[in-house]
Amino acid sequence: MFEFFSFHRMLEFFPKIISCFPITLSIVVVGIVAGIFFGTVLAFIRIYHVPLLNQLAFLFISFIRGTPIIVQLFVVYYGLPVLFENITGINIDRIDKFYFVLVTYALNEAGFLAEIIRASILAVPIGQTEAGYAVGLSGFDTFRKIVMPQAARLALPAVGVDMINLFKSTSLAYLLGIMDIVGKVQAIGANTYHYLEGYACTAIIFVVINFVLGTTFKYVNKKLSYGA
Amino acid sequence: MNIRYDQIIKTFFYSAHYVPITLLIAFVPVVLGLIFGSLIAIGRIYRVKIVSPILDFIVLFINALPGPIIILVLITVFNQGFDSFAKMLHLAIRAKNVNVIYVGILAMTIISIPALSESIRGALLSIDQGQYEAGYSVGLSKFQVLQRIVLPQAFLVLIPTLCGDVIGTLKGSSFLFIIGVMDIINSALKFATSSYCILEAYIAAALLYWLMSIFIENIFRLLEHQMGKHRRVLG
Repeated sequence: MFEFFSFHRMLEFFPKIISCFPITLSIVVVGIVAGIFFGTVLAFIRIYHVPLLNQLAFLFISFIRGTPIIVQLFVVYYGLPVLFENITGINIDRIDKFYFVLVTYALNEAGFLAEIIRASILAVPIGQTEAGYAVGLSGFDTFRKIVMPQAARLALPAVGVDMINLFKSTSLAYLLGIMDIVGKVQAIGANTYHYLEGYACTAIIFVVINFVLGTTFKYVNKKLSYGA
Repeated sequence: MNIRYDQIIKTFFYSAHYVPITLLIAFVPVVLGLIFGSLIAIGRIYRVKIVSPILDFIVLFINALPGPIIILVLITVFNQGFDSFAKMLHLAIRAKNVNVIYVGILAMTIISIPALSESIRGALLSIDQGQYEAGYSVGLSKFQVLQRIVLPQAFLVLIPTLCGDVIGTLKGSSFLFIIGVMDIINSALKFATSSYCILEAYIAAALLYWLMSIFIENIFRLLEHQMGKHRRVLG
C-alpha cells in the first residue's frame, strides 16, 4: 500500500527544503527594498499630481492591485523580453528566470506600497510641513527631517502586513521554475512521488515566518508608540 | 517580435465567456466564508470555553499559510486519498469522475473562512463596548444585542474590508488554474495554444481580472454609499 505520510520522510526532506530558503528570502528583500523606493516615487507623483505621470501611476497601481500576481508573473516573463527588444534591440530571452521573478515582485510591491506610503504621508498634518518651511528648511529637508519620520511610523503596521503577504505570495514563484522552498518541494515530489511531507515542511516554515514577522512588527510598533 | 493586438482582443472575448466560472469559484467561498466566518468571529469574541482557543489557533494557522500551499495540499490529498476513502464508504464515485471545480471551491472556502473571520472580528471589535452595555441595560438578550445593535453597525465597518477580501479571493482563485479549473487563465491559454500567443493570452487574462476588480470595487463603493446614507454623524 502507498504510504500516505511519514514523519521520518518529513525530517529527511526538511534540511533540503530549508536550504532553498535564501532564494525565497532574496525575493522578499529585493521586493521590499525596490518596493519602498519605487513606491515612494509613485506616492510623490500621486501626491503632487504631476501631470500625465499621475494618471500613469494611477493606472499602474490599479493594475497591480487588481490583477493576480500569477498573471503579473507571466506577463513580465513573456512580455519583458519583447518590450526590452523593441526598445533597445537586445535579446534577453536567455537571461536567468530569477530576474523576471525579482522584477515582478518589485513591481508588485511598488504598487502596493505606493498606496500605503501615500496614505501615511497624507496622514501627517500639513501644519508639520508648514512648520518646517517656517523655520527655513528646504522642501527636501522638511520631508526628510519632519514628515518622513512621522509617516514611516504611521506606515509601519501596514508595511508589516504587506511584508507577511509578500512572503506568502513568493510561494507562486515556483511556477516559473524557481528553486525556492515550494519549487524544491515540487522537485523532491517529482523524484520520490511524496509531496505531502514537503508541503508540511513549507507549511512549518511559513507559519514560523509569519509568527516571527508578526511578533517583531508588534514589538517595534509598541516600542515606537510614545505616550499614545 | 511584436505583440499581436488582434490576438489580445480575440482572447479577451473568448475568455470573457469563462468569467462566470471565475466568479463562481470566488463568490461561493466568500458567501460560505461570511457565514462560517461570522460564527467563528462571534465564538472568539465571546470567549466560549475550549472552543475559542481552538478557533484562535486554527484561524492563525491557516491565515499564516499561503493560499497556493493549501490548494496544492488539498489537491494532493484528493488525488491520492479520495479513491480509497470512497472505497471505504462503498461509494462508486472515483477521483477522476469528480469535477475539479468542487475541489477548487472547497480549497478557496478553507482559505477564505479564516481570512473573513478575521475581518469580521475586526469589525465587531471596532464597535464600542458601550453599545453592548446599552443593549443589555434595556433588557435585550445577548443574541438580540448582536442582531439589533452590533451587527448592523459592524456591517458598515466591514464593507471596505470585505471589498478587499472579495478581490483577494478573486485573485487567489487564479491559482486554481494549476488544477485545471476552466477559469480565465486556462481558457485564455487554451485559446492561445493554436496560435502560440502566450503573452497575448496572459495580457487578455490580466485585463479581464483588472476589469472585474474595478467592477467589484465600484459595487462596494455604491453599497457603502447606500448603507451609510442613514448613519448619523455624531460630533
